[in-house]
Amino acid sequence: MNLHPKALLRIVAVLAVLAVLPRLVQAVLLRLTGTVVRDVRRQDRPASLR
Amino acid sequence: MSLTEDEQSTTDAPERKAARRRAPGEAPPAGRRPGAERRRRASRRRSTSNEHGNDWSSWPRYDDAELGFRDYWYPVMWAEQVGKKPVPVELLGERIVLVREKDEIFGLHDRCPHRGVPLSLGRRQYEGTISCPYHGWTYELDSGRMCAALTDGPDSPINNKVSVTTYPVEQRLGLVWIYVGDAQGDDVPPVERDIPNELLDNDFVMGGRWDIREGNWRFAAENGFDEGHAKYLHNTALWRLFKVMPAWNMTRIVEEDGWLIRVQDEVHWEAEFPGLGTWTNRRWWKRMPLPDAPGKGKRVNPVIKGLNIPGFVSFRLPGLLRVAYPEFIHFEWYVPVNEDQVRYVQMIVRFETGAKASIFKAKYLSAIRWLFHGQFTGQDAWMVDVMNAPPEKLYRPDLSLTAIRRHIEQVAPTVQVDRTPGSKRQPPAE
Repeated sequence: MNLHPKALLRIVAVLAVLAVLPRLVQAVLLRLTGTVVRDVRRQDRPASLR
Repeated sequence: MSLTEDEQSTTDAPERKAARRRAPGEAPPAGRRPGAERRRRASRRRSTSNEHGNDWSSWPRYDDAELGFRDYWYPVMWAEQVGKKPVPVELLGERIVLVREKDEIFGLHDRCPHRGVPLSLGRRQYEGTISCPYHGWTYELDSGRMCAALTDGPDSPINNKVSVTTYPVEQRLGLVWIYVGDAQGDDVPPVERDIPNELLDNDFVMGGRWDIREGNWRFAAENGFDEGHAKYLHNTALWRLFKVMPAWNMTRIVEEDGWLIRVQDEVHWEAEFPGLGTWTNRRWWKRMPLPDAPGKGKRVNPVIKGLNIPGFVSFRLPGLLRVAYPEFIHFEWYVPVNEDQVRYVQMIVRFETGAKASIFKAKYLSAIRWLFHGQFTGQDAWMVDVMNAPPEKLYRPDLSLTAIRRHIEQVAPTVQVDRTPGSKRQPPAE
């Protein structure tokens, strides 16, 4: 495949924006409205509560 | 990222305006009315009615608990909101400053004993310490001991003779939890005691938010567990646009493992009122909704099915509501800030991972956050803000409210008293 360097640059730029955008949106929402989304892993419980 | 509570409470979404929150700059820093005004407002709500049955005198402990209950862990904000810069928090009427040191977060009484200046305005002069902005009295984060009065030399006679109260702080589920109580050291109960088991024992994805809302925490808690309000107040909510709400229910309250659970014995989708007409929320575009318990839907998440909850809505101390649906659970904590404000922490949980979790995150940020955790719970905030009881006249569905009050009298948790300087009680002994 013969890809022009400018086209390659555009693709890389779009991919970079797509990679950063979700984190950027989350950071802005957290800052402005206290909103978060996240994965939470199973927690260890102390022996006294098992 | 670090965020002060004042920034948080003045930069929030439009639904906050609907709840008649204060305008930016209207209140002093840390989002608090002057003590005298707060106490005057609160005193209006005390049980003063002479007509027995209209006030809260049947539930004296509950009546006294305008600042909440001691000996519990309370969630206050997301862990990433506490940075190196000190963050002030008001909790059960107590001023606390949160400070991060690497991965650990510390909590200290937010008042320098010297001249009463908030330590949250102070500087991080040396590692593991915080210094008062006024004269540089410097406190160790872990012990609260004043290790140096910077403006009085290394041999100052007061060095090591003063300390501020420290608060146990933990990070769980991405939230910062603070313990307010009299237990110390190993006697402090584990934070897991105050977190529902289903949030400890499973992997899940969550979306949530917190904000400071006007109104006493008891109004917020009662509103959450209130049997009747959703069928009328929320039937205009966009979140319910395509789902029918019942016209009225026959409900009873059962207690299981510390939870009060609303169980629906009868669900009525319409009712005929003589002389008025039909009352119903049915519309052609709305689908008939849920079964009569979260575990009985067509598609039920296995974790939720395993909980075997007999009703959708549950409440437990010190102020946590759980609304369980077949595929997700909504939690909301009513954390007392002071007599007139409540910290409202809301969270939707799906017990999913991988691609399904990613889809949920996108749905939460694009819709659920704004419809459910925005407009829908904004309607609740509106009612909590304008509510003015007692006196009150209760009706049949209010058995949900009296169940909370009776439960509190039975469990008899320790009532928090006003500890602000100038009140009847002194601030925590330093």
